[in-house]
Amino acid sequence: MRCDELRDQLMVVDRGELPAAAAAHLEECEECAEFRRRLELAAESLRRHRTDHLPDAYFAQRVSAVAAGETDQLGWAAVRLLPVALALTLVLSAWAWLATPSPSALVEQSPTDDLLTWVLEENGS
Amino acid sequence: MDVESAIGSESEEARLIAACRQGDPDAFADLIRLHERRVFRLAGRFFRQPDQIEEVAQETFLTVWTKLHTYRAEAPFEHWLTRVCLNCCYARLRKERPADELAAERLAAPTSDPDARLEVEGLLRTLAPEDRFVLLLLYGEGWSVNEIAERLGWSRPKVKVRAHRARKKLRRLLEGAPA
Ligand SMILES: [Zn+2]
Repeated sequence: MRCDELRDQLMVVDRGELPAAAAAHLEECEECAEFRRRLELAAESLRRHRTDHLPDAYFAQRVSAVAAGETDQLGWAAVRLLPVALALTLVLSAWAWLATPSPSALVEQSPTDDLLTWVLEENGS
Repeated sequence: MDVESAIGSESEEARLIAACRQGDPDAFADLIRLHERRVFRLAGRFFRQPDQIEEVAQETFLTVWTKLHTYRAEAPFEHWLTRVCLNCCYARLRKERPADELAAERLAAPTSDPDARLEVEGLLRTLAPEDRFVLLLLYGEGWSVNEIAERLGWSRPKVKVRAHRARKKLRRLLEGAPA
């Protein structure tokens, strides 16, 4: 077994589960034995990497107050946007009203005469 | 805990979740109290400073508050919460400047350790946060690739790639270090 192969195995195999060939290589190869020692130190360090810090008695209350505040802020944002929405609706309504021609204007602009001329001319020719 | 009280606490949890969805902050505080220790413990795996742990725990619960409508009760709430917490830890680790973490950890490192152990710990601190995160789940929590994928809500190939990369970097680090 090559050093490279053994180290590949060491990286994925849990402690104590090494195949016989790997164990034999470790007996003979000092560098790989040293690598394994370092890997075990690293694994141990990763296992111990933990900070035991517990929440104080008011943690839940504090976070819940922040959450409630955020919800309120959302509510207030909606309330603050209400006049803007109202103003926008009024402006759009006014524009729609002004842009709509009155019935008398529609009659004046009526293309009926032209259309009649055109129909008569077309049929006549 | 006997079966009856286990069922009782489950239905209590379901009641709290329903109330939280209606925007009840008192129910939310009670829901936090049920799970805060678990969240602190998990965050303590990745962060050394108490204020970092507390901030990431707060972020986890605020995410729960805003995303609770996406929680489907098919899986236990605890699993969903773990997923939210792990993803908050990951996002925070990625954002943090490595130098800050380094300085903080140097202060927190115990001084009675033998040289070799301290040296390896120092090496681990030079890893990218993404790699350290995966290695802490693999070696620290002792989770398999499948377990990590399931608990984080990441795809199996994604975890496999990340785990492979992190292990490779760790190996290079250990090989390159002076004996
Ligand atoms: Zn070798």
